Amino acid sequence: MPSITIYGGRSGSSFRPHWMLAELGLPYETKTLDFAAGENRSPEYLAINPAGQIPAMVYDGLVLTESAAIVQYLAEKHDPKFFGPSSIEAHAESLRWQLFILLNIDKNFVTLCYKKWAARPRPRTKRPRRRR
Amino acid sequence: MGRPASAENEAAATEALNRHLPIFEAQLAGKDYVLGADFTVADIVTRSTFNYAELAEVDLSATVHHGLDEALRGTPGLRQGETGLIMDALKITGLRKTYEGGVEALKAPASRSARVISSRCSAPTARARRR
Repeated sequence: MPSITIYGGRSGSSFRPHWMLAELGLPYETKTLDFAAGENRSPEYLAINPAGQIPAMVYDGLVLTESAAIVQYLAEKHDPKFFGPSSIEAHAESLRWQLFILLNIDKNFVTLCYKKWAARPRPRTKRPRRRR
Repeated sequence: MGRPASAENEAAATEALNRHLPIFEAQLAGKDYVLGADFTVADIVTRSTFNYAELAEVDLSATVHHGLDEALRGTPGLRQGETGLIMDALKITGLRKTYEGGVEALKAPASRSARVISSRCSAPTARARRR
């Protein structure tokens, strides 16, 4: 069994690797980062994902970010049936709709979420200063 | 990621969703899954996006693709614990009815299931504020 750690809980983009791993039935460890406390900006996490975003995956020492890339890797590695028909055309069609959603839909939903997120009371947690 | 909350950005996002969602809806029409008969990574990547739909109070509860909904529940991972519960709550199918109503539908109040998701979707909050 590979050693798999997912950084990020089941929210937002992090839901993708959790779902993929559930389909594959693979055991894995979850590390949830406290963004309000700046854990995603800690030197330890920036060493894994310099963008400070979730999700990220460490798979037997291989570090991957971007939820879509993570699920493609897991599918191809463990059960290519999840990767779809094994033709170049089918893979292109798969990528087509993934990119369509990520580029045209995802960010617009997130924009509509911001108002709601911004309306929440700010936690009184100290955050580390961002380095210039 | 999305753009900061402002009336202008929200109007642009709503316009873009009303333009693009019917295209995705059309791709799903007559299929069990995004690529056709088989459940693939394309379903995982595209359907997870609708987590945000609930949080954004975009009401997708007027389900029309019951068949698709059932098919998604039937996949092995969705029978396992929490993931299945989340997917049940999402009701991520049925875009057509919602988007026939256009902008007004996007402003519809969140469904009961949306509130379940909202509480689970708290992680991006701080990141959103930071920007």
